Amino acid sequence: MKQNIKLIDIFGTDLFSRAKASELNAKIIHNANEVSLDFYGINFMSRSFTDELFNIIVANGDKTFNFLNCNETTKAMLKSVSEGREHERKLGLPHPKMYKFENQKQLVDFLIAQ
Amino acid sequence: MENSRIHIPNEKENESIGSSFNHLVKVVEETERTLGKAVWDFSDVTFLHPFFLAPLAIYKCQSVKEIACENISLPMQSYLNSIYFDRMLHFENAAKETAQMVIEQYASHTHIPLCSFSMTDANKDAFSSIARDLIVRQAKVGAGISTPISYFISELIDNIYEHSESPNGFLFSQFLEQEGCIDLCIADSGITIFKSYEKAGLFQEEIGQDESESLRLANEGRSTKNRPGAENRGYGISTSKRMLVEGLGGSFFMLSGSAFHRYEKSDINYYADVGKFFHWNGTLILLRIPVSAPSNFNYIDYLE
Repeated sequence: MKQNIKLIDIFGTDLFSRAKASELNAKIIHNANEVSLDFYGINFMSRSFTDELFNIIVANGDKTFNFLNCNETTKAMLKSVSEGREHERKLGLPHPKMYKFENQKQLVDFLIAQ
Repeated sequence: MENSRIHIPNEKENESIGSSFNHLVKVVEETERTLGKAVWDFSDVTFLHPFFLAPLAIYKCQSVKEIACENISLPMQSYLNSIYFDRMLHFENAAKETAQMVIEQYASHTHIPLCSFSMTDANKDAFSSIARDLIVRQAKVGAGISTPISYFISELIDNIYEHSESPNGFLFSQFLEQEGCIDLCIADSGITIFKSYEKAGLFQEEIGQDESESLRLANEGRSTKNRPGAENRGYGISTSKRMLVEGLGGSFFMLSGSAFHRYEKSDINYYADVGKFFHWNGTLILLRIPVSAPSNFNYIDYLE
């Protein structure tokens, strides 16, 4: 059985949060074997929403998921999060400066000097 | 008990985040030391920078101290009233249409007043969406900036929801036309980043008692909720920060408990512990967002 879910009808134009994505799980029909998520009219999808969406897809491993009508930023977000889940994140950040101020004067002098 | 008179400094429009923070620390520290009523004296004030004003109002609304404001000029009083300095505009599970109607009254202004919003799923998302729309309209920015603004608001408010245990979030925004930027403040009154790691029992060897270390870990994307191989958490703050500072040339400031972090393009990138003399209840984030993006900026490049 195929199921088509128009995301705009459930969430409006913005897919903001992880909690919102988890609502999607309840909309998926138990005996559907192919689920198409239609992104038509979606302006913005957050990273948290996208990550939770992939959690739902993993939890519904017996189904095939299709993404329809994605705009460029939505496509990029899906790709980025999907790739991020495959690999451990390499931070590679320079060690930042760490300060400890003992009193307010030390802080004031520091901030003024900048 | 004696009352204390606390001088509220006049600020310049081009005040840096560091300087606003400096003023905030002084006023909060003096207020906390007061045993009786704290009287904030505004007699010198003709301008208050958004990055001083918003945290000051959040502090005042959350504080158990009795605080009175005196000697406020008429124009300043009118501005303070319009931004809800004394009481904040509260959204408690309001229907999206109702919240939109209230916020819509600010369409012709350059600011969104100090708002608190309850941290329920539907309410925070509806509020985020309404606030984003209004910020974008007030500053008349195109997709090049509106998409990053959506990203910042969604990730930072979702972080409050996921980690802070705060019943409410706070938001204030001011478009500064001359400076060509939007100053945005997002905050909570929750358990602080340090406490969030402590409660999760994670990274305790690295953090020890140093709250600035916990800020560093949060900014590097070490989530308290990551499940290896399954989820992809912890990107919210770090990607928002890179996109804002490295991509758009803006500024980022985070204050949580007794530590703060400052990141700006002009080689300012550090974490600091101020626990000996200052503590903030919750987490506060200040973003200075330029209203035009550099020609080489591409949102997609910063998604990682």
